Amino acid sequence: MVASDREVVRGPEQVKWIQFAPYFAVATILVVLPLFLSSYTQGVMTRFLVFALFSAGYNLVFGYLGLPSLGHAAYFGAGGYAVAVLKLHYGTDLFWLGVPLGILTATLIAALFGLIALRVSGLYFLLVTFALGQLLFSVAWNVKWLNSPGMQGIAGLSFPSFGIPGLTVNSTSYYYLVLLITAFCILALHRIVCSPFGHALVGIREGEDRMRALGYNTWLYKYIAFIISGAFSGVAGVLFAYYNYMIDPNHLGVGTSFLPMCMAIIGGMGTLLGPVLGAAVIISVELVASIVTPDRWPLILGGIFVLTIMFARQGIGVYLVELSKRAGYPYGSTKG
Amino acid sequence: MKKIGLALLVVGLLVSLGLVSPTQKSFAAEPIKIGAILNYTGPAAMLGPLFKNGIVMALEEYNSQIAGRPLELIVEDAAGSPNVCLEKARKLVERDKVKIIIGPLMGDAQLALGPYLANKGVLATGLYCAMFELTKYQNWLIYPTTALGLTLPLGWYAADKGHKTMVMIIADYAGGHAFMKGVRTGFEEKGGKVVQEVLVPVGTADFGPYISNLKNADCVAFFVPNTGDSSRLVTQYKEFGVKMPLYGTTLAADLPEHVMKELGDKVVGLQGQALYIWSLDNPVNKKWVKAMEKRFGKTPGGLANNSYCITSSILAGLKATGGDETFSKLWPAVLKVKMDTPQGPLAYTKEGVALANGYIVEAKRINGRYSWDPIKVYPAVRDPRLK
Amino acid sequence: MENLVINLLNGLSYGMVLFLIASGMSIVMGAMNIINLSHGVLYMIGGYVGWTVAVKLGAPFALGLLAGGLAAGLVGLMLERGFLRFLYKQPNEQVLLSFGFVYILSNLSLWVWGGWPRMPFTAKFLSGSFEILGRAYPKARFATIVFGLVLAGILWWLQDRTRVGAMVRAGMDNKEITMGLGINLERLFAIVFFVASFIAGLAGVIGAQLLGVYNALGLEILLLALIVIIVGGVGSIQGALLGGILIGLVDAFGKALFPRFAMFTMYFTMIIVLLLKPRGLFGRKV
Repeated sequence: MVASDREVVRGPEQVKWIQFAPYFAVATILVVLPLFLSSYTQGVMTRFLVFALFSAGYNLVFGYLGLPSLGHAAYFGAGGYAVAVLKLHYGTDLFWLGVPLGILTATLIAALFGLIALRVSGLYFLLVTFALGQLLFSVAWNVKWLNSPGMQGIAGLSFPSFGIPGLTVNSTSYYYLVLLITAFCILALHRIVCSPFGHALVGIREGEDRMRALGYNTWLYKYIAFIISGAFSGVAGVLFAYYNYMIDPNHLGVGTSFLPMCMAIIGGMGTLLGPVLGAAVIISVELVASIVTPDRWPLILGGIFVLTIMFARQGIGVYLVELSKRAGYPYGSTKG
Repeated sequence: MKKIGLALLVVGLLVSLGLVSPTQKSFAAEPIKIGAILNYTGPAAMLGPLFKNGIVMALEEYNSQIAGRPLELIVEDAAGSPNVCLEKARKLVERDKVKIIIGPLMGDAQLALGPYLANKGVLATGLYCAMFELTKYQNWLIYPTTALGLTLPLGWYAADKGHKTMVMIIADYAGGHAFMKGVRTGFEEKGGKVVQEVLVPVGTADFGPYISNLKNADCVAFFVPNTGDSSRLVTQYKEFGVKMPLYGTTLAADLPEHVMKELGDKVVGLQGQALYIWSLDNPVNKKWVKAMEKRFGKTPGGLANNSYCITSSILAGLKATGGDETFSKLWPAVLKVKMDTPQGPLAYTKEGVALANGYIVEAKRINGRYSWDPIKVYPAVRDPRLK
Repeated sequence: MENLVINLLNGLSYGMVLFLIASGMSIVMGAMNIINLSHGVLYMIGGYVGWTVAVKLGAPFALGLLAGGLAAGLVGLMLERGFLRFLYKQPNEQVLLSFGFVYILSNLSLWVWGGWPRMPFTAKFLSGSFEILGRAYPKARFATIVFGLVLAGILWWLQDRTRVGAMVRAGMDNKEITMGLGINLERLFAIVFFVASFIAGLAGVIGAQLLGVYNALGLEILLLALIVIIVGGVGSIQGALLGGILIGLVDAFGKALFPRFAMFTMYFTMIIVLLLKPRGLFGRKV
């Protein structure tokens, strides 16, 4: 879909102003607003950022490479479990230890699982990644070392410490930490998808045989993208564990794997920021619906899924962009 | 990179608008907020409304106010997941500023909430026992007793019946182990011996393979969670024609009368531990059952009794503090509460664990109506680990 | 010896239920390239309707079986005609849409049937047990094995020996050419989807003899179906049958021999099969 070259009949200054307005507003909301919000709301926004990062990282494989993974919770949860095990068995919540260990764990598992999953593609890829995720789930459930005494999962986590005397982290400072890391990661992802490597991934999605004929080692490209995506999921998992105070086997299983997929599809999977938008939609719908009607929220959430697919199949983000274009205010393009 | 800025803007605005907490000014009659985390979706979805009925009844007995302050109940869905419970607890504490939370049901979820609620100084309660481990936080009201205390009487009872050896079927999660440890403790106290422990996953569809491979013993005792697992186990045990007598735990809650009716004669003769039965013969209970039938149009069971007794003791404590729900005032006041409940006399130890009756019941069919009949009472059961 | 036989029977009967669960989903995946995650919910609806007819209304079990199948079939047909037919060749959209229906249909069932689980039920003449090698064995489980085998036979025959089967297989291999031959693929797909959903509903009633019916079934059954499909391979009756029996046996013997790792054994088997044959034992290339 190349729709970005459409002529715009407006003065250049005007367009410029309008084009920057949304970013400015979003930045204001994300940076300034939380200062005035309760710790609970800051928590919800932290949660949104974590899942935005998770699904943006996931989308490298799903949207750009076109491989439907139903097992990314494995890397997300692995990052979280690394932090949780550090706390449970070694009594430390040191940020400088948790983050590298979490990323390392997630990356190693992604590297191992990638070898198995990338032997197939399409529907089978979905099934194989699902199976691998469920395997980790059952391991986490059954291995005593990975559970707090008396329960499934590990509880009693807290915000990270930095080993700097006098510096304690609360929900506000943790929010800004997560904002910083998420922004950094999304920028990094931006660099990746705009690089020749990123273009090669899209090329592989559109025609793997052609790319192979051009001399690309397509398997290696896919494998590297899979590992990178797993690493970003791991970062999200680490940040999640600190925020969430607990981690349990379900964070490795199919229920959690669904989330980034749904977010990417709802927001617009061919784009970098689509999944971010999808995360905002799902987190807020889940929250509002379960407050409004504790026993009927699944109807609302399911309804949103169905409506999105039937009326905004490209994803809500892309749909809004198209809408803005029709109205004469082009806010971006819908990259292939 | 071109972006989907507008969309982000719109959604961001919506999110932030929806989330900004309404600022609350403190008035003289500021409500006392009570949070409840109950199951409305997920595997135990049917239990939420039952628990809520008990809470509502207790609140209404006080005309929903104490010392001029209205009582406000905020109900959240536990969705059967510890993680969701923790999220909801954070919402209740940080957004709604509650100081009292009733629920959640599952032991896993309670342990997940434990450190957080202790840290925030919230009076917490289970709904149906709780793990002994929670007593260390000194803010959990555990009713009717710990998981181990609840099933202790069944161990005693089996030994009293003259059984020497026992096979145990245990749902393989923390709560399951705790419940069956109670049976084992009681049984061994009186000289019995457990010869086999069969661990089954939660939500086991087919118990056939387990039932086909039980060792020989004088009796079999089980704990599996929920109506679904219990009824499948009871049905399949009968189908495979095992001759050893079967003893259950948490029977009246997992297999209430309408479920017994559907199970039919398969269930008749089954004995085991239960917490409460509507037919208990004491004046408080008779009055309460009538009131509940009038208010909600159906006979109450053990779950409504639990949430009613828990809420009542908290409200009695609130009355003693003159409507002050600050944890440091409320907690000692609640521990001093002594009352006659539908279930029997109720008091608390200094750890916050209730001392209440333990009942042994038998499934009977009388005039075509299936019901649990109390056949033995063990008064004021106490977990031996308590001081 | 009798332990071995009993465990074998346990594995077979559970395996047959698994086969019934997975076969419909597998065919739809293979023949139409549609991932229908609401398959487990269709199973659940079949079970609930079967219960309503056979237990609540007291009709014969066979009627409950038929009603369960029809109910699930009709809901499935509605999904296909109303939604999924616009989404051919769009697997991601199918995933999200059908997952949305998992939420919606589960919650609606909660509304209609409430949260209390329904007890296992069966036909009058199948209740009770009979002696085998000196041990009691439930009749209903035997019936399940027989029913599963018969249905597998019918489906196999439909797939390999009839015109409809030939058309479906042709559609699987090359859609354009099949349409070029003047075959009405739209109608064919609607029929296939209906049949697959119908089998899910039947499975719901058959399975209810062992499991009863409850609201969380939608997702539990979906996971089981995916496992069987992964082991057996997408798109063939043989695959679903072999996968179902293999997983059923692994489950039964796993519970008997290594009860501590009951949950693990099933996933472990799945991974072993994947390592040896990434497309499952009978997988076609999709």
